[in-house]
Amino acid sequence: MDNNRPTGGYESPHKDEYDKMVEQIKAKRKALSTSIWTDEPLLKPEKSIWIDDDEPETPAKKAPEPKREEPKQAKPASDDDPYYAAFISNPVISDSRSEKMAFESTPKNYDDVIMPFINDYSVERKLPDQRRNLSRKPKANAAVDTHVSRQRSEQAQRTRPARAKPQTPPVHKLRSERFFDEEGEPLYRHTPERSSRKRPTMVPASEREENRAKAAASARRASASPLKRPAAASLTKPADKDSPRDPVEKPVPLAVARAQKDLEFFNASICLGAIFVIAAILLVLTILGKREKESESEKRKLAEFPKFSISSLFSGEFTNGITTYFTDTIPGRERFKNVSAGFTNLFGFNIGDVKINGTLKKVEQEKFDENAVTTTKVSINTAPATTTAAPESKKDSSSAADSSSQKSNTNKDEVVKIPENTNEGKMLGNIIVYGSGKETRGLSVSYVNFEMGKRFAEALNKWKADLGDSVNVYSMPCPLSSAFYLPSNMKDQGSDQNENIKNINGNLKGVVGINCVNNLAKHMNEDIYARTDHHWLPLGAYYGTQAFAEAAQVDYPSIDEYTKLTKEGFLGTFYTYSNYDQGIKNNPDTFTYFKPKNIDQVSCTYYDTSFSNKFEPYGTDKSGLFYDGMEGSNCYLSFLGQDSEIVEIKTPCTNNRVLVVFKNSYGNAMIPFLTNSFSKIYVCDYRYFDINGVDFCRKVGCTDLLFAGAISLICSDAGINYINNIRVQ
Amino acid sequence: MIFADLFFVYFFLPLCLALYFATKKIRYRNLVLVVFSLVFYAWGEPKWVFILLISSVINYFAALAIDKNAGTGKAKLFMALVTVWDLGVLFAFKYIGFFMSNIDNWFGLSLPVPKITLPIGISFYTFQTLSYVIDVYRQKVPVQKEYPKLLLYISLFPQLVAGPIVRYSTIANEIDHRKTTLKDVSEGISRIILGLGKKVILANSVGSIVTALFGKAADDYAAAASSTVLGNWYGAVLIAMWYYFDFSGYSDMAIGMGRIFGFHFDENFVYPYICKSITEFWRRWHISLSTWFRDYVYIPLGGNRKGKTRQCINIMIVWSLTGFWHGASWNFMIWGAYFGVLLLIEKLLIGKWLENTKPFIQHLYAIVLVSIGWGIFYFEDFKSLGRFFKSIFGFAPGGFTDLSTNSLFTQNIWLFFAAALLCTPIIPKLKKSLCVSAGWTKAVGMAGIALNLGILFISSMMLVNTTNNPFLYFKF
Repeated sequence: MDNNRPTGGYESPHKDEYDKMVEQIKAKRKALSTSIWTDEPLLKPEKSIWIDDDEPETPAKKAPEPKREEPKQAKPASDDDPYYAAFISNPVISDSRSEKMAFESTPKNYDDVIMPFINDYSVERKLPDQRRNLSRKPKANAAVDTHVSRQRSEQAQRTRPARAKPQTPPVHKLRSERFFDEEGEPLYRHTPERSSRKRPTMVPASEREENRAKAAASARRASASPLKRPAAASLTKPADKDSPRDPVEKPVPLAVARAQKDLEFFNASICLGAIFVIAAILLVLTILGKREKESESEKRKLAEFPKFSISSLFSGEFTNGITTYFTDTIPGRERFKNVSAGFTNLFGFNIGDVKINGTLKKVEQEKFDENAVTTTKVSINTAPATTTAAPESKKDSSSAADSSSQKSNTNKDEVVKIPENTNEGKMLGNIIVYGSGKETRGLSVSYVNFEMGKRFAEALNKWKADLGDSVNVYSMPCPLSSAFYLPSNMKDQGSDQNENIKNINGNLKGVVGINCVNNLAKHMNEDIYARTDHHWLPLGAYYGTQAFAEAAQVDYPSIDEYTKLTKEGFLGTFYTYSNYDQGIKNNPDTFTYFKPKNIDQVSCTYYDTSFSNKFEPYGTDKSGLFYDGMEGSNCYLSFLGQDSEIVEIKTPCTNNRVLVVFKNSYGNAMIPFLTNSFSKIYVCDYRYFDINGVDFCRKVGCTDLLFAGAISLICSDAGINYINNIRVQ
Repeated sequence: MIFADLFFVYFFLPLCLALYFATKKIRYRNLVLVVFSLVFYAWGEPKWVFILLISSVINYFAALAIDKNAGTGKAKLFMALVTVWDLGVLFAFKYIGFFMSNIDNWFGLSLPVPKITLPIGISFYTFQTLSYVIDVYRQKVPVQKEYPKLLLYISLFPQLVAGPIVRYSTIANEIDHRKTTLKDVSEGISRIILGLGKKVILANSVGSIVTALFGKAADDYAAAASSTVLGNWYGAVLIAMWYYFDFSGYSDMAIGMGRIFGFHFDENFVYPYICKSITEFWRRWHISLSTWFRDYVYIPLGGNRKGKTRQCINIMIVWSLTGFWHGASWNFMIWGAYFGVLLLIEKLLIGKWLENTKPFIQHLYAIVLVSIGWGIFYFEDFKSLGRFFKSIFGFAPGGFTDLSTNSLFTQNIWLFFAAALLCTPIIPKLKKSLCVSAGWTKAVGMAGIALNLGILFISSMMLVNTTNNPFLYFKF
């Protein structure tokens, strides 16, 4: 107990009173526990009026009501609180630290829930201020003169001598003695209503007894209520059978209190310091212009600082733009995202099981009924192109529709069964991953269904109808790697691409449908698909294009006639899509691409997407077809570079056939293998094409029109829209 | 602006703190707070900040008028008018669409259904302002004669948007006299960081699992169509944790920030999930709201003073309204009524039995019922709600469990246990019990500081990821 004396040389004249008072206060706080948030003591609150009050209240029992008032009410109105006034006049508790130490006590009952501090005791904590303000406030400032301050100044005048005088009233009872009886029950009724400006009335002894009994009864109740903070009137805890009074609370040792004080200092300074330092660094970096501009892994330009205008301010764009800009362009963004992803990986474990994040979902598998649809055999017009509207007819007459099913799938050789992949696949991020080490493979699935396939086929049919018999139209939705390598535990994910391609082909009229699944399946064990990227590798493109070449009846040299070039370290998009999986990062693909023998005689002209302006590409080889400098995650851009262009390729081939390709990125890899097959090739991306497609084909003398691309894209709603739009725009 | 955002934490807050502590005079500090609060609100709602201002002006004058005519019929008149205004504003922004679409459905009309975007925090500050005026009317608090101070109370940015509904009596004194001690700063900043961590690390992560299990309202709860029995239970428990960490995280940040500025708000959440009954749950969950309804709806309706029947009716009314406050949709009202019924059952029928059973049963009973309640809260359309109920009783569309449910569970198992642990006060108690000597206090304290820094950095890094938007070449 003596440790609680304030140190530092301040000898209070009321030392003993102080000690006694402190003891009494501690005695009152016997059932308190302390909150971790603050070290202030708490009370076990009363039961709530809300639900458990069984006895209906009668007006006579108004006295307990104040207890149930909002605890905070005690505070502001407490300026006419007699206890308050007494405290103010009592200069003893002036050091906030000693106050704290006086009130601290070790938790009494660990079975109690630690209740939050509902601060009645901030009354006491505020005393130094109050005292100060009181003495400073003689001027009746009308604007500021609230009732409270009026009361306070009245009180001050009534109970308190001027500040200049030594603050020792002649006869001074301890607060505890003036306002509490021997049992510790309050003597005065607590009156929070401001309208009653009379002196507080005394609480009769009988009522005090009652209050005590009530408090004891409620203290025994099991459920704690955080709401009720009994007001000053029931600060005392009468005899509680469950928790016997502990007359001498174990005080917090001075050393501990000191340590706590130091820790508070460290905590505040370090945490706030961290925030301020980081804020300052960010500010400086912003001013210096060192914020991130684009994200390689997300393949997009990052947000820019928004332009200011009155309208953008009022619509919220400006302010939201600033917030987005601030977060989007944090320097070191990639590293932070990696750390964040690494942290979230700690949330659980994978025992070869599936990680689902909601973007991948099970789909119903549709099976193409091969016997239901009859298709006509489409004949290929191999005549060279003419620019006149009436083409030379060297066509074979198309045979009448056979009743027996004839697929327009030109692959008539035996269907290769794709073996089941017994590896355990897991979903990371947006993709499926299986395997380890150099065998780690990422897969993306396709959600194309039969209805979309039908619409895709109809879009192509319309092209054929517009172009007429002189142009051969081909449909080539390219399968993704998941068509071959999907682990069996994932077979519910995504739709069966083979069936969907068959369905597309079954709905085509006059259009040659190409299904290269079988051709690729034959070479599944070779590196035909990238493991870390959603594209196929050039070798896979070779086999896929082979199916096209057979259908188009053009020359197609064997793979050995190509020059092989290899680049290591191709880390594709799956690194990002798997949420930065390290397994993928550490096992990038080897990118092997092939240059045709006749590359020296190939020449390319690059046009913009309206086919009106030429431009010089940068970084290509002599032919213009290959960008040999691409490396790392850009390897796939080795062919033809970006997508928003139209490339006209002239080859040494002499069959005078002109191929127009509307493709997405899968088509890029196919082009280098067609330099022996068509005299001229026009490569266009259906997403970046600004003129009318039919006119374009007529203009360039197209004889063969190929729609090639990854099935998940070209056969999606967006893809079908593009294909329809470029035909009519 | 929201709290869990890099711009707020690393620009707005330091700037506000720097300007706030640059002066010692309370007038300037209040001015700083008012300006920053208005900017804070206007940042997200550049148009609707005017509703806030207009509302505060109207309430200011009304309170003055009520105070001047205290006790007369005029005061009643002003009180009624101001109530109409405040609740009318809330109705107009929040409930008009719901009201009109229901009228259309019931009466077969086709009146236009206005689509109004809800200004953020309107539910909170309307209730807060109304509580002030009612308290003035009841003569419980002195009227605030200076408009800027009232505006400070209404718009104080820590509690404006999602914070505790602070009563005027709580901070009336602190508007004029407050002091920030070192302890306040230290505990305030700890509280802020804790709240940030709860929101960013726990709530966001748990929320994404829930959306994986159940889907979102925006996509008609697509994923729930293939959910399993265990999946639905798991999801309901997760929703409970999600909303707790989300809401209490914001409340923690609000209380912490208030603390640094010198305000002491009451606790809003006190470990609700260790409750032993539904009654206790509501004493620990969103305390400021339930006390608001108690003081300003339940008691005026008569409370428990007009007989048992009336009490039951009052309870049902109040709880339906409490539910309805949460959102303009029938399922919220059902949620509120669900708890009203449970409270009545506890009070009238099973109260005694419940008190005397084993604690384990009490806890289980409470958690099960609360989780089911959260399921009601989550599914806003009746079809999904019906499906949820069928699922939790064994008839789920996806069977008892499946691969995806199991994987979601194992994939997030540590997170689940950590979150469950943090729903209980075990860690604070542990910390308290360890601080037996200066040495231990120092050690525990240092660990606490390190933990604070860790939470701050990890949360910040996870916040960097919020604008992660890869150009999805697949366009699933």
